[in-house]
Amino acid sequence: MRSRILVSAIFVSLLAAACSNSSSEGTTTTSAAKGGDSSATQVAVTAPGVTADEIRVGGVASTTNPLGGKYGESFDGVQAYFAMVNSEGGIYGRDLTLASERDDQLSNNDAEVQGLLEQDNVFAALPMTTLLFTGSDRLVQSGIPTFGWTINPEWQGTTEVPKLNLFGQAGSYLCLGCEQPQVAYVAKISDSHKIGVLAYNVPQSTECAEGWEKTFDIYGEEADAEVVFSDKSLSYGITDLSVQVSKMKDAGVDMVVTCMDTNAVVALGKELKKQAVEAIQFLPNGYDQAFLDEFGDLFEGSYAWTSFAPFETTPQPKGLKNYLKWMEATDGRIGENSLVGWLNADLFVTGLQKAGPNFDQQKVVSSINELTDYNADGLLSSIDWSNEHNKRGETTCGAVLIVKDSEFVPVTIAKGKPFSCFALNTGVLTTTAQ
Amino acid sequence: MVDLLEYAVRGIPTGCVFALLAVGLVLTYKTSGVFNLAFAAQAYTSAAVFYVLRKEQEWPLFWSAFIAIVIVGPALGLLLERVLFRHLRGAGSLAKMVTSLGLLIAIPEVVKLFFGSDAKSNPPPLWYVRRTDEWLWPQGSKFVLDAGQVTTIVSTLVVVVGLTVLFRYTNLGLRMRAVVESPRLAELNGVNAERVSMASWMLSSMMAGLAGVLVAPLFASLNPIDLFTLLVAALAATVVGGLSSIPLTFFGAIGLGMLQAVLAGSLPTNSVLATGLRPGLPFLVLFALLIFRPGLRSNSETADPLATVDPPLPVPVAVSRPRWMSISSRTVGVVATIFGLLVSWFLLDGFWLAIVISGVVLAVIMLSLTVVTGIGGMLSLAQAALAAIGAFTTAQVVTATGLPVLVAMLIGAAVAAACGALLAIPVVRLDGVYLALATLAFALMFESILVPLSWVSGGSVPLAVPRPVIGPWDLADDRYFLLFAALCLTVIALAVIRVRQGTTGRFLQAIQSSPTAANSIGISGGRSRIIAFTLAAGIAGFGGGLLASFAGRANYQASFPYVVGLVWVALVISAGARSIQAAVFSGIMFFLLPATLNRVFSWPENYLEAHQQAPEWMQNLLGLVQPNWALPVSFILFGIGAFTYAKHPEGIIEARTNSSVTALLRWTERRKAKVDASSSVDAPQVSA
Amino acid sequence: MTPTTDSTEHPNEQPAPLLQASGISKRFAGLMALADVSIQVGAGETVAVIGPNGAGKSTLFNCLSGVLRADRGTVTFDGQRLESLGPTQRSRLGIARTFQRIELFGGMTVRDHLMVAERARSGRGGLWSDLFRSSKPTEEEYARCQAVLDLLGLDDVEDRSADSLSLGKGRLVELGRALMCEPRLLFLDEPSSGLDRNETEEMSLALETVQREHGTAVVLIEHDVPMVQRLATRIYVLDYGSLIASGNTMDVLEDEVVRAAYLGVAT
Repeated sequence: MRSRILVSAIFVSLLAAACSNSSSEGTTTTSAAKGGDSSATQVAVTAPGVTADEIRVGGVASTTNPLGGKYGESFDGVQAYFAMVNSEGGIYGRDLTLASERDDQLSNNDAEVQGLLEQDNVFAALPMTTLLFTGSDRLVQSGIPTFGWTINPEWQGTTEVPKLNLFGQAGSYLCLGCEQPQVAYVAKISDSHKIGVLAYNVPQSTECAEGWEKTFDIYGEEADAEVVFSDKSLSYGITDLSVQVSKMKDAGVDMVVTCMDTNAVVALGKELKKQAVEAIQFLPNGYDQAFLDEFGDLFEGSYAWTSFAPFETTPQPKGLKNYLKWMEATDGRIGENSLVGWLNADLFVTGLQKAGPNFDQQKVVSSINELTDYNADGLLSSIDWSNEHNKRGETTCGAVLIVKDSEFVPVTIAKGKPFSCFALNTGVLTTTAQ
Repeated sequence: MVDLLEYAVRGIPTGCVFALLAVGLVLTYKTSGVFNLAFAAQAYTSAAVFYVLRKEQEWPLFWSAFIAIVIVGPALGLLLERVLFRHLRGAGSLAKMVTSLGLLIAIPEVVKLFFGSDAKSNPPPLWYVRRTDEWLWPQGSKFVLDAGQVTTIVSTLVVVVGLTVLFRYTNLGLRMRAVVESPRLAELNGVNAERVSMASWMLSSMMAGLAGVLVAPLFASLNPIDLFTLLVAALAATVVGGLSSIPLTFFGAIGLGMLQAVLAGSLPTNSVLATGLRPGLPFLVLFALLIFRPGLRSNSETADPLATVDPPLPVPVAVSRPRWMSISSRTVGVVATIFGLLVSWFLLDGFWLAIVISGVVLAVIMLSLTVVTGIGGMLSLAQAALAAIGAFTTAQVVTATGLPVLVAMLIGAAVAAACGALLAIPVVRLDGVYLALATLAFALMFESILVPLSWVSGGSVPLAVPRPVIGPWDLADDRYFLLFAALCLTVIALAVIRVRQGTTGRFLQAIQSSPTAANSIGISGGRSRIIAFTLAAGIAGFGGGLLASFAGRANYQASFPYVVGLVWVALVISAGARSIQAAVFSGIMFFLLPATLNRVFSWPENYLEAHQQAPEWMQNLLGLVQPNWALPVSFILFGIGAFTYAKHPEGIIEARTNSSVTALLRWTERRKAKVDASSSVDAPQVSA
Repeated sequence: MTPTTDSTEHPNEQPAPLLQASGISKRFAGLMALADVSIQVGAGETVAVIGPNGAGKSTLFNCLSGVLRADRGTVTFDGQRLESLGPTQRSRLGIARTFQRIELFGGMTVRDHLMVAERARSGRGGLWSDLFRSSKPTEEEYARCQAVLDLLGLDDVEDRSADSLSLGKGRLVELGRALMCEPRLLFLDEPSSGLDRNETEEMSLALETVQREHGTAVVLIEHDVPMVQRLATRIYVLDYGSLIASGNTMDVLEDEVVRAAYLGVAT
């Protein structure tokens, strides 16, 4: 018994000794880990991936994923854009090369990001279209210009860690849980008054749904619409929404907003049809013609929202024309994923040009962050990169589309201007065309 | 009240979906003794074939369905029976379950290699329409059914009635049960066990095919994970029927569907109760049934009497090996470890180093499986969840208190151990399959109820976990972290060895080998098993904290989903449940194999890019190889590993070690015999 | 927790029987395996239970050692009621047993078998000492183990894996394992079945020594009449689950009914 006590005493004191070491420097490591360690400074001195005749970049996408998502197509967009730039002689006499196309196989993002940084000798990381963005801390630490698709909350910076070198395709501030006036706007133009909200019980989905609810708290009166049914306790993998729909029917819901995957959105569409509920859906991420080819009739009159100019925009802005032309020339696959790659490449090249011939990674990052009116040749609404990392801008913009005869039709405020913009923080539903 | 009734009625179609899957599982268990988690994979296979024929090739409904359900389903079952399960007929239920786990992992990847891995959108229903909602009945009424629901309900009723009749009134049904309960006895009574077993597998696989084709249109696209998620939700129903009664299973499934709908309708939406209870309901019911359903333990004995004649684990190598050989093999182990560390330290770049470190850290979690399954004899499917508990605790403690991360990891281990003990107390009474199911239910409850809570997981952005600093060594440097992780692994491995050879390990070995004899000398199974479970949970928790610290964040989705945990189990058990080397090997392989295969499969593409003038035949040939084969092929290999479990329950690594030791022994004996002619005998000593 | 005390503190001076089982009945799915069977065993006494195959002998053992729970009847051991106790708890009170179908621990050496039983009895060793102290046997444990090995003549095979031994040696290992628990009452289920003459002789010798040196009471299921005659002072005869005779060995073996029911069949 005594020896047992003795052993525990030794164990505890050893532990205490280890702790005292650890805690005295623990705080410095945490900040060092965030601020950039020795390897990060090495990166900053030279311009990796740049030779006399090429600038190499590389990206990571969840090409292999169990959900069948087409994330790998984002490489096509980058290839097409680089082909266009190189056909005009490249940048500063150098060709742009997409030197590595890594596949993080869903859960190895961090390792592949590390491989990208250490093995591939690249100047910038693009595209970064990944389901789980576990490598984000590493990219922030290294300071490498990084471009990708903001489907992960990790893109967003905070006041302490602004993540100034991470650039989403249309801003980096995702703002889950924030109000989204466009939904109130859609309710207004579609003459919908009773709103139903559905979400899974997982954090991202729930937060997003809370954003919808907040939207109608703020703008509901003006749009003459209110949330009359809300269920944020759905389990992932749910296949039957008949109870929810019957309750929504009783509540007179005429528009449903969701934060769920296509499985649930389709199940909802079928159930609405079955119970003959005349309600439209707002699809925050349903802009996919292939989806409408299969399920379009279920979504007649529903609305979608994109952060870029949709392919159906007329007249086509210059950026869209170039995209379509060069995607065809390089045999790339057209769609949201490749457009994201294209937008990433465009922002990168814009930054590269602005940084001047003596560019380095830091200069590219800071010159992008000086862009206050970036629009990718009309593919995007104006983005103010000096204010897009860790806080929300003054307005939020995007394109509104309605489903008609199983096709997306842009809904615009003014002819020739694809984007509808909404003022934030005013509490009033103000729309301007852009 | 009327409302409640209405909700209950709305739950019936979902109940039928559960019933279809649960009855299929019970059918397989009844007729083959296999608790076949791969049922979902078989269902997926038939659904994929049906998709290709009906939708892509536009075949007529009848022939597509005929090929997918009546030809492909039974053919796959026959193949599995002939190649695998035939050899498993006398094996224990755990061996069968691990094998089915391997199949669950491997089959969908094989199917995807054939049919392509892109999303198969809008699976066609088993009816003359393009989509289920194109045929509604009775139109305009309060309860409208679509084509999918009608076909499912009708099929379920036909299947339930048919199978009940089969087992109650026909000779074949009787024989099927007899063959499972005692193949030898059945053969003595003139039953051809081979044929009956083949028939059983064909029947249950056809059932899987039917379920797959019927259930697939519930989803917007065809995906094996969705089917498995549904199957897992239906598990509770199989327990209602005690894994043997088909009518009871059916009513259990309908009840589950109704209960789900009633709760969805009646609980105040967005209340804490609703958010917690509703998504976790099927797993709560499963867990509660396993714990409280009377007679489950004895039932498992009668349902699967062969479970008790599980082949005893072969003699552990250390016992039968001469001392000089133990010492030399230990030396080899130490030298290999040091060599591995040196190579990693000096030769590997950051990418491969990170792969190796992840593997070493995962090996710590794998050791928890060595303790619970290898030493404790319990198949735990909850180790990933317990590791996640360790990771979350570490993250929360560091964030909330600013304590050093090492201390936080130990707290994490302690919390995981406490959760493990709480889980163990009700669960260790259960046997074999039931224990595995209860741990699976725990993992699922954790995932669906606790992980979404921000005080557990930290919300949508995973919580940060820093690297430790020990004295002058800042483990932010991966090389130092590798040393630290290797040290942790060594310490824990030595502890596991001591437990295995110590009193606890001996007691557990005694209980597994002969529970009655162990009881007769006063060893209580419960206590030792609770200790093993708790220790394993603590190790898993520590490993989870370590993994979070290495990755920088406690990211549940990336590291700990229960499905990932299933892959770990299949991998480590097939490599060798009792052996330390196997745990280390499987931990490292889990990360190293996909990364390596990715490089291998990328090589042709890179080669062709560099050599644009390569001859056309070479371009065609090399062009066939796709870099994205890496993950499927790794998973197929992981899964196939589990097939060897039946033949080598001690694991591949252990089996290889054993056979090489025997070979070496024989060689030395032969040599000695020659030498003995002139000198005296040095009798080999045996280490205890 | 259990009101048991070390056997050495209670010399066997009381006339009250060590084990008293009354009215034990057990039914398996319609089949009456035991009907109202009562037996008693005095301290240090050896009794035999005989009867044809299927008479319920092993079922009786299982009911008495706690493997099965009797439907009716009472069992008292050393003044304590046992009905609600499981096999583990009964073992801790000082009841040990062997099995008709030999039950050894796969992969363990002979010495391990004894050591496991020793540790189970003494309660020494546990997770803590496995991890932080040596789990190696102490001098004292070693000596106790050696004594049993010597007694049973197993010292030449102590490091062999028990699976690899002959059936006879295996039965001796089972006996040794039971003896390590320092039982006051020992149930032996057909100890000589499958043994040759020599091994049977060895077994009988060992049992006699045990009884002489430790005063252990023994209940024996045995078909080997010479062995029964040699060891048992009293006999119970079971047939179709009922007690058909009991009494002194010689008397019972002469009994006509018994000869008809049992010995006629056996010889």
